[in-house]
Amino acid sequence: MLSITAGNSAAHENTADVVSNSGTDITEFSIEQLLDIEVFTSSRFPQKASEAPSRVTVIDSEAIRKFGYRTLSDILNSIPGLYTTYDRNYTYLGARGFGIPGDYNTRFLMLLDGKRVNDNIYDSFGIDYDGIVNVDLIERVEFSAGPGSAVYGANAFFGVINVITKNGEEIDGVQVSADYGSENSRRARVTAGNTFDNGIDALISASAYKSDGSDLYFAEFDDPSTNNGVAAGLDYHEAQNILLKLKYQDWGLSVAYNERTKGIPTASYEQEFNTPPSETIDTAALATLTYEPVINKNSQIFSSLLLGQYKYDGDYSYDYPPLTVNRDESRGGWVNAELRYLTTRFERQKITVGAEYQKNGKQDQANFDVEPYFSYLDDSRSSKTLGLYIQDEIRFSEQIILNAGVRYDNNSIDAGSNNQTKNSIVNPRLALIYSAQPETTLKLIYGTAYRNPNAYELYYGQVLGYLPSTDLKPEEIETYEFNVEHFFNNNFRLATAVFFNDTRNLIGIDSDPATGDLFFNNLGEVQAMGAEIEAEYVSDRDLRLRTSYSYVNAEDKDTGKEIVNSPNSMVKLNLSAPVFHKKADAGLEFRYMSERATEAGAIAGGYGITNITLSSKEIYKRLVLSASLYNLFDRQYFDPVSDEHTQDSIEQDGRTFRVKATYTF
Amino acid sequence: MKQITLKFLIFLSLSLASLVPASSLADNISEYTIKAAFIYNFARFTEWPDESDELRVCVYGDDPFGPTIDKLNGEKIKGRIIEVVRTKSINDVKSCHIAFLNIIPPERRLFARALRDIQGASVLTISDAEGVIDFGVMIGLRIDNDKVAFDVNHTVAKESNIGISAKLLRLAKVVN
Repeated sequence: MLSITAGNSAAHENTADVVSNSGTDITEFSIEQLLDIEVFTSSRFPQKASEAPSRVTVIDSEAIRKFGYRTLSDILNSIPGLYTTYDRNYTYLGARGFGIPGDYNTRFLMLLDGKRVNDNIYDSFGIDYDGIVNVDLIERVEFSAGPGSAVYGANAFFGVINVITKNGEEIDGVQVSADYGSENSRRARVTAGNTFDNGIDALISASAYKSDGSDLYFAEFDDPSTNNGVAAGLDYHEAQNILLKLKYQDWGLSVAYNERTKGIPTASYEQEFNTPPSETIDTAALATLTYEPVINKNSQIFSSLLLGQYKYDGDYSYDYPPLTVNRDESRGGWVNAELRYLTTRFERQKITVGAEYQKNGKQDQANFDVEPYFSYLDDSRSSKTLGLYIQDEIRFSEQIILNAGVRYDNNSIDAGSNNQTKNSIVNPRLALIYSAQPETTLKLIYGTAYRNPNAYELYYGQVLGYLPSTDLKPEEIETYEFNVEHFFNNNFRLATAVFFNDTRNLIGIDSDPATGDLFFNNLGEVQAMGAEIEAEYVSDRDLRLRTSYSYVNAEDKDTGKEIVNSPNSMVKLNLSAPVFHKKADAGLEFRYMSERATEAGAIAGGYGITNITLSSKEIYKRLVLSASLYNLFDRQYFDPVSDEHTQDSIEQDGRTFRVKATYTF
Repeated sequence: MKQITLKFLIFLSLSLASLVPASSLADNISEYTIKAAFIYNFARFTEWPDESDELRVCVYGDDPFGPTIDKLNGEKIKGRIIEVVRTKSINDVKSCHIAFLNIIPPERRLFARALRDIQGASVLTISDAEGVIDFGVMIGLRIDNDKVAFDVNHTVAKESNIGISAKLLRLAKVVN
């Protein structure tokens, strides 16, 4: 380690000399001398996650303010290798070249304050206004790239997103916030939070969002019989969100609720074009109780009990004739209990052992015509999963850490009275972390993950003309990754990653070449190879630059072709700087994505969009103002969408704006 | 074209570690080396009410010092022998003479809780998170123009029967 030599300050005026490893006594300094020594301050970066067994990116609440992020989707889009696709109904997350259209975010695990959010019908979670938490209440988002099933079990396939929410202390009063933007979109929020003298920390928040949307033109429907391709008044959006949090000593209780309604302007699933009602309502609710006591100075227990509910109602318009509303419903209910023990009692080791049990009491799906009533599907299921895991972080020396983990999951699916299926799966992860110098970290990672076919893939299709998908196998992934992170100095950091993903039994929507019928199938094997490079610079005056380039080639092993919706190259750039005597910040964001293949074999062209935000810090007491322009240059671009659409790709928003004010009493 | 780009990136990535020059880090003084030296000095200029012959210097939370602070082990101040203790349990902190509270700034709530838990014990609390003396930490370390400066909350120290010497109070930037 570094140490200091006393004296000899004449040559360097105020700077003391340093001699490495000389072992000089740090007690030789007088306090006056100490006050006069220039120091190397520790990293200005929010979190140096150097010892994590994966590559971790952290986006904090300051970045959310500086770049005017509205949804989790905005936040995730700034992370190297991640991209989202929007079909004007749901927003889908893709990573490292994988973003198969129609995939409801099942290959990511989302955590809210460390607890599983994914529902038990689609294994999905919302990242748009259907997200479980209002982004204003996010303290930070941590994205761990790569497979994490060795600790987290199913769905931690391409990455784990952990959303950490604010505590009452961070609000410290009553906060009101209102924003207004393009398409008459508006959001209002009221949050109260405090830490009381008796030690209880409480937060309560409610918000509502509404957007009228615009009339949208789709060339595929450009015919006088279908309003010349214009879907009028169907791009509307509404959401309500509630968050409650209580903390007292080692105990925590939280309730999160979100309901989102979205009009469907695209006539997906062969609906009648420009014909309301055509909308989906998604409701997610989670109640979590945690108890995390410190047992003694080297061990801690983390325990949690979670109740989850998910509800989906979709109204779809069909002209059989007559014009009929077909309703799609799913109801999910589950209980999840987890117990984890962390100990450092063994020298040079940090051991975590854990058990997680999830009982999916309700996994119901239905589909019927409303009037005249006719039922196509009325399916009730249940299932359960028991997972056991152990992870050991072994510190061989100051420089070398081996992080080894393995998880065993036993899944049992009750597929009706005469049918019960079980599977067991073991997922290991190994990471070798080498700190070549204090500033340079090398990581060699081998990781695996899986996800089970979800209830939707297994049972939904049967009655709707989809072919049955009963013999679906779990998807599996193996990843090899090499990371290098180097801090050139206190202000500049460079990180690179090279990775190889081998994904087998990938589940996706397939269509029978003869009949055109849709069904879920294990689509074979996809291999992806790529690299990412990221640079981050933070000046002493708080000018911040984070930029990345990522390259990936994801290929279907059977056809030798690149998969759909897989951009080869992405560039991301986020620049922020204090302005107006540090009273405000200017944020500039640029995102580029190269062209992507579509389902029909066409090309959705590459694009680059620019967003700018000007946001104040607390001015006039505790008032915070911001103004944003998204897609500043009004760039026209399209996202590839799934087979369920007549359109092969769908146009995205042009230039939009938002202004926002937040005041804390 | 695609292959060339990929190969180039792999090459770049693999060779990064060997390409970069040794960082200038080693030419600077580590922030926490200085802070450890500060802690030693605070110990010299503080009076505690107890008669114990040891002086427990505790690091609460993740340890930012590393082996540097271990150099204080066995040092003698006014007949007391320093013992460095690392702990993640706030109950252990009650028996410390000096406690460096390493709490990450977003977790301000933890400050309030940690301080409440050790109320009544004569512990000289030190932290380097922003604005900590306002929360009731006795000594706040901060970086001011690339130099370490410190603030003192004398009121809280007096309430805990800790005597901070006039010299420290004079050298502090802010005294509450």
